[in-house]
Amino acid sequence: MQETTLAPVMPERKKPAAPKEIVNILLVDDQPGKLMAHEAILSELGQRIVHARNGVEALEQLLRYDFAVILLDVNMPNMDGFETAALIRQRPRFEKTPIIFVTGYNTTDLDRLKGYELGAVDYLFLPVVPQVLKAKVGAFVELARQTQIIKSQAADLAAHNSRQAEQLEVIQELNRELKDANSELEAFSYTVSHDLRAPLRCISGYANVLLEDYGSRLDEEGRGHLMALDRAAKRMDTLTRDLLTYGRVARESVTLDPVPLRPLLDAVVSLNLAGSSVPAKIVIQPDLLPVMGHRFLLEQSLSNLINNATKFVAPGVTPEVRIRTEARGNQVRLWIEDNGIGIDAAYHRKIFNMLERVGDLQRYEGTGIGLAIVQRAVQRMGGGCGVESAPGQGSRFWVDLPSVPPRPTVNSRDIR
Amino acid sequence: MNLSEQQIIILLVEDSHDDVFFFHRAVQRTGLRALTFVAADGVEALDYLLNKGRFADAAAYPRPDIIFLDLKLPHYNGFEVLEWMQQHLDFPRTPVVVLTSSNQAEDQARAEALGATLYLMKPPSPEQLRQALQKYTPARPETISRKSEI
Repeated sequence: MQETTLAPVMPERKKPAAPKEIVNILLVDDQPGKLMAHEAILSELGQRIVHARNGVEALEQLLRYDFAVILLDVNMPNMDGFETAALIRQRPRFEKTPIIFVTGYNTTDLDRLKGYELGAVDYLFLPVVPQVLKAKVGAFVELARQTQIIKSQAADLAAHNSRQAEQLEVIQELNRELKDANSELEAFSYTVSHDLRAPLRCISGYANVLLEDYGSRLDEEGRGHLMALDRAAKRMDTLTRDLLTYGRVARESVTLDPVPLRPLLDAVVSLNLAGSSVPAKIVIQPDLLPVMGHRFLLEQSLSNLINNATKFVAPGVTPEVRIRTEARGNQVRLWIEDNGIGIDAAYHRKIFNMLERVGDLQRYEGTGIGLAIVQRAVQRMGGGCGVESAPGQGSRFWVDLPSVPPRPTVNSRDIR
Repeated sequence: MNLSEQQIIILLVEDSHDDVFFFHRAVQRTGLRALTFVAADGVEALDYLLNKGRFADAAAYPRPDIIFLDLKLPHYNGFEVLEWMQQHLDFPRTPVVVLTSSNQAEDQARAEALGATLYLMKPPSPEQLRQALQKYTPARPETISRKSEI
């Protein structure tokens, strides 16, 4: 099968013409010779051509197939072309099927008028000029082909739409499931953080009671075991707490609001200093820039960074932490600088990974989750984080967060 | 002289026996003279404050100078106890220290919004308790009995 090359053509389509875009042409004539002649001319259009030798046969074919165009001979015995056309037009399905009457030169204007009344769209005069026949039929073939294409595209679109509607339903269903799972997880986390940690507190508490009240009756090794017991329980407690925090940071629904950093930092710092036995000097720049952030995520990031800054110092050194901000385009960079032991450049990326710990693991306690929490929290707020540091030189951790967009003033239009 | 005039009267609202045990120990180690009464849940806490039920004897169960309140309690939880206290004009003036295993900031914020004076993570150290007792209860002669301390 070949494609028609006849104009008018649509702009190039994405896919080549599919077989279904072949259309049918009905030739109705009582003279086999004329049928053959017309078919020979029209075969170049590459469409399927169907013959009928009288009106009845034509109707039979019409009932079987859809036709792009009917080429109808006017002069036929028994039922002539006009009668056939009238019969065809009676059926709503064929109301709009184009009919080209083929007629001799002797056709009067009256006849032609009658033809148009019966829904003819064109006339061809005998003897047929092949180019004219081909052009006229070709135009209707193309029209039908385009109609078919549009129909199939509309069907595709409808199918696509209904698929989309189905997908939307699936997504909504999944969303509901996710919400359920999330609230279950929330309840689970709450249970873990309260009920599961209580026994750990007990283990550690009683280990200490034993040490304090019965320690003198144990030898050094016995006391060592009790201390190990206490350390392990405390470590598991911290680990549990940090994992829960990480989980929450990862799944918390995030909306960004302007956050003034100072009050948040004050709260975090006072909590940090309260929980630490070593005094630390923490200097906060007076005019910190506000950021777009999420309170809980910010709190977790800052608390872990400040905790690290005061923790990783050489023995005998008072931790000194400096906190400041600087504008960087449409972001604000928050610096947390310490006088700690510093970090080798080789580990600058690695330390943000989950459960990754570097340096003197005996001296400095930690779970390896803190900076992972920072990184996850900052990412969820659309920011980034990193560190500049070298061993013995302290560390300068930074967090980039979106800055607060300026509020448009009432007069901004007038100024321009 | 009445007992309550010499000692700090503490009401501990706590359902875990272990935590009650650790609390007693820590209070002992503060070196302060304090008497701790225990209510095992929120309902008992209200009973105690109203001298109802098994706490009907007001002389035996004196009004506390300070309340230590666990958040996760059977029946009425700690928040509900705080809410109730806020609604009863008499009690907001009694300082309430919330003791909890939760380090969740919302819990802390909610407790503070409901009038909690202080928020401590379990287990409170003797030092934390001493500071809280000295800061939030009326001055008392520090009658120290150190014999139980190591």
